[in-house]
Amino acid sequence: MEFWVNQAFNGVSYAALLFLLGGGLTLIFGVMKVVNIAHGSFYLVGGYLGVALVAATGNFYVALLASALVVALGGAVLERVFLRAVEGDDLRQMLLTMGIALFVQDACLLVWGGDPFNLRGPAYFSQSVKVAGFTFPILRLFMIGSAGVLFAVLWWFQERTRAGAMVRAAVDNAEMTEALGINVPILRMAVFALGALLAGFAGVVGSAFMGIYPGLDFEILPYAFVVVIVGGMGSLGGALAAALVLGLLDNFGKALFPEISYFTLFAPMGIVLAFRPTGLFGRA
Amino acid sequence: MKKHLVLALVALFAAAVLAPAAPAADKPPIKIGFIVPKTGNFAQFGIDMLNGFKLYLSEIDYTIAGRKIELIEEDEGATPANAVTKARKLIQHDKVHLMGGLLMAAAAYAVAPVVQEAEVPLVITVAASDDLTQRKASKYLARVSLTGGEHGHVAGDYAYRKLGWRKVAVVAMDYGWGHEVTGGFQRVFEELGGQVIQKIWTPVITTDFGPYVASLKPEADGILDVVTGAASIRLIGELRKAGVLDKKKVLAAGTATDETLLPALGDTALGVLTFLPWSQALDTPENKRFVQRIKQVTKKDYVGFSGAINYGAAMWIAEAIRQVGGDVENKEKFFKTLRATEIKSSPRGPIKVDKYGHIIQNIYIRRVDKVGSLYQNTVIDTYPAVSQFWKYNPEEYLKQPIYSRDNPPCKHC
Amino acid sequence: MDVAATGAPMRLVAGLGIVLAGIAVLPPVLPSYVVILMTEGLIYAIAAASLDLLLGFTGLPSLGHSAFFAVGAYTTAILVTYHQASFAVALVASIALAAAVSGGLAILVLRATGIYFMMITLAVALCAWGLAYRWVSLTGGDTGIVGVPRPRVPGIGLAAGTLPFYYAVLALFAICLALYLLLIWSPFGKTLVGIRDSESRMRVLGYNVYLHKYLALVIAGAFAGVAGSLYAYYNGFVGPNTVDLAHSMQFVLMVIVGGPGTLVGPLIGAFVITFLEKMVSVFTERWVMVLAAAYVVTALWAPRGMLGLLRATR
Repeated sequence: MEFWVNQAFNGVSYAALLFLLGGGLTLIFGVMKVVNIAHGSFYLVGGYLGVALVAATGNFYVALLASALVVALGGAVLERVFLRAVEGDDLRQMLLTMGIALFVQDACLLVWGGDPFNLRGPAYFSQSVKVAGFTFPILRLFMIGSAGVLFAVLWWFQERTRAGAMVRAAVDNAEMTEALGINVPILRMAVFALGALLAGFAGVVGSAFMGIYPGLDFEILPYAFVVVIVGGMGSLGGALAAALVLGLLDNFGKALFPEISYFTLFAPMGIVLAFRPTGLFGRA
Repeated sequence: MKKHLVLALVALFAAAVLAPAAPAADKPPIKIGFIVPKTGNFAQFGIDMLNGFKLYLSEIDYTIAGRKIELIEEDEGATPANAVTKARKLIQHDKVHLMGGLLMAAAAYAVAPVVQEAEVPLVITVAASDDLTQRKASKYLARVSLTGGEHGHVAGDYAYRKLGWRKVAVVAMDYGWGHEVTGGFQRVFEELGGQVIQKIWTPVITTDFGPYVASLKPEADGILDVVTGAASIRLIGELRKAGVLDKKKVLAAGTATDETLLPALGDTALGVLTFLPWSQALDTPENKRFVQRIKQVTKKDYVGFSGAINYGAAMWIAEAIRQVGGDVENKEKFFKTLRATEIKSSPRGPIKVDKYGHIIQNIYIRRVDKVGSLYQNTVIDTYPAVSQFWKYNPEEYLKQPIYSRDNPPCKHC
Repeated sequence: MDVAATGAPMRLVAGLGIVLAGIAVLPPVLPSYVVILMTEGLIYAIAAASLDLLLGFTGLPSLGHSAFFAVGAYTTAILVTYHQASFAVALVASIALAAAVSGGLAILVLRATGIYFMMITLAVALCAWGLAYRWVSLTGGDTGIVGVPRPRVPGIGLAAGTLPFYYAVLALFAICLALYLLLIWSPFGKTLVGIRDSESRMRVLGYNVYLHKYLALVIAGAFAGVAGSLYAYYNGFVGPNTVDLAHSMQFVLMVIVGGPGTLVGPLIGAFVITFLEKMVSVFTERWVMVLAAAYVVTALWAPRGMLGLLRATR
């Protein structure tokens, strides 16, 4: 029993991280149809900024919010200055984001050096709570909580607000949305910034969980892609569902059949795509 | 006219005869090619390697036996293919006399045939993988760093005799280093009477060690941890959070608590035992001097292992060049001398290599402690002059297959 | 419109002939490192051009092309190292296997279109990487397969040296180039371009769009197999890096940097990226930034790739 509860809890907390990682990317994909290779870079920069700001301010939450906002701002600038120039050409967008990703990677190496950092959260992050005889590390609870809150906010935004309706409309048909008098360029910039914000947020949380070092951007990028591919592009719910499925599969796969642990992420992706090329919740 | 020709010939002859006696400083520099990662995930290792290697060269003013040393650095990049291309460049374009460096085992395996074909000596200063100096040993290759099986043997002996472990669970990275340390450990440990009751192979990129730690068998007396790099921070952190480190000892392979990781590991790693041929806290005059000097270069409190062993590698190479009087062009003699060269004291202790080209050196058992505000790997035990073949007969040892995922098989799992 | 597809083919052939003659005559007087990189550039050029058949000519932006490249590389490495296969056997087997794997996967990936096609092919590449890494008994896992000897070409002797191997690669490159040109000038090639421009129109005109796309994938896979096979010989070793995300992206970048849908562009792209990576890194540690800048500049100011830029300045 303890085994199942522990593993399920681990799986859900890992899913939370996967959601933070893939949620932003799926929005960017859905609205902008950009294969954003630089998404891992947002994560990386978020993580490094988080480490620096925690050291400077001593407050994890201040660092978390500030880093996420700075990364979001960076994302907005990137969209406005670079991506807009190559709008509508997915190959050039890919080339551009690849260039930016490489630049950011090398710049981070220059600024922060190559030694890994571990972001120190509040002291209670390294403690656990006991509920009904089971132990739950607080850091993992925080990951689940923050992913849950962010999902709820985004969901409410997308489904209940006017701006969210515009985003949904832009996902389905950008030209039509523009024809309706909605300022799609601003919308795209906002969505890109939002996606960056989520990735930067994930970077700070992730650094507390698993440290940060050069090259992590390209290490985690496949995970973000897997979440998007399985969940379906542009679907927040899909990203959440995919993250949960993958997180749990990965966890139980590792624990029960360590032999196949390399395929617990990629195999589901292959299976899903074979039956639903647009992902679980994607629309063609 | 004829007279002039004769004179000219005599002069030429004289020049040819006298040339070797001329001051050696007039000779062209000795070129050493050095391949280390300067970009990507392992860039810091590469920079540390270079810092150590160059520190020694600068101490001798880049001059050995009257000849200047020219160090040509190349980026190993993220892939072995890159290392191969750079090795070809160093050999064919720069015409180096010796090649050094290499971090990744895969890169070393890929480069080895290239240097062998060109008959250029290669001194590996980090890359660890048994067969490079065992079943695939080459007379052009020497290694003055470390290797997996050798470290596993020491750990197996220490775990059984000193820690009194009888049942062990292993968490190891699923690639050469993990397989070889585990294999060496298991062989020695089980021959003494112990049992490896669980082997968990973790993918090289493992973001979450939670599931592995939760499935560790509780009846194990201790845990062998063969996870390195940034992943080590995650595993040790997880072992601490799950309470395993409070109940059991963890014996980890060397670089799991490398000095460069100590600040990030922090309190989580306190008490973790490791085995490695060096420690920043090693209390010898040579090491203290080295640590103080390298700190002036790096301006950091923590000095990485790769810097220290590369300093030693540079000492060893330089000594060999000194012994051949700078005549590195005589390849056969140079390489024979290189293989026979001994350093009595370096930051890590004495250095010499066996007839397969692998280093014989001290391996230290270290414990992570906090002294004042700084963490350190305190040396608590020493295995002197360890051979890569442990106490086995090399010929018989080499008849067995290399340590792998399933060799030795896990009989007690 | 593309010169290669419509314009003056004779002028193109003449131009390519001059360039080929140039890169055939120059190497003996060039520094050996440059020749080594030119060898690599030629191999990548074969691969990049094969991807251009999909990406540029058929409108199938595959991110998984490295998978077929890797099939060719591993096939050659395994056959040559463990079974002492000859150059011809290894090459043919690599081509056949790469084409077969491509044909098998085509059934899966052709279920998706547009950006979904990109994603599904990316998934193929990720799975291929997992296989290369984990199927240790076949691929050698992390270490890969080392010690692949250079091919022995009967008559010429050992192609071990830098120059003989360069010429062996150049010869195969020339053959591939000729085949590419024949292919894109054939009615089949024209149909592919038609499918790229408007799939529905071609369908209405009675073309079997699916079959054409399918064949394009198989053919591109076969050429990737050629490149992969040469790559195994070139490096003397094959490892999982051959099929990782970065390598997968690299082929795509070569095509885009050079100019998709031009065939000649990707050849330029392959050379430019190879030299940027391996030549600039000799001079500066910050070569990654130089490469990054090249990507950004190309994306922003050379919408049709470098070839497009060349044409515009003429």
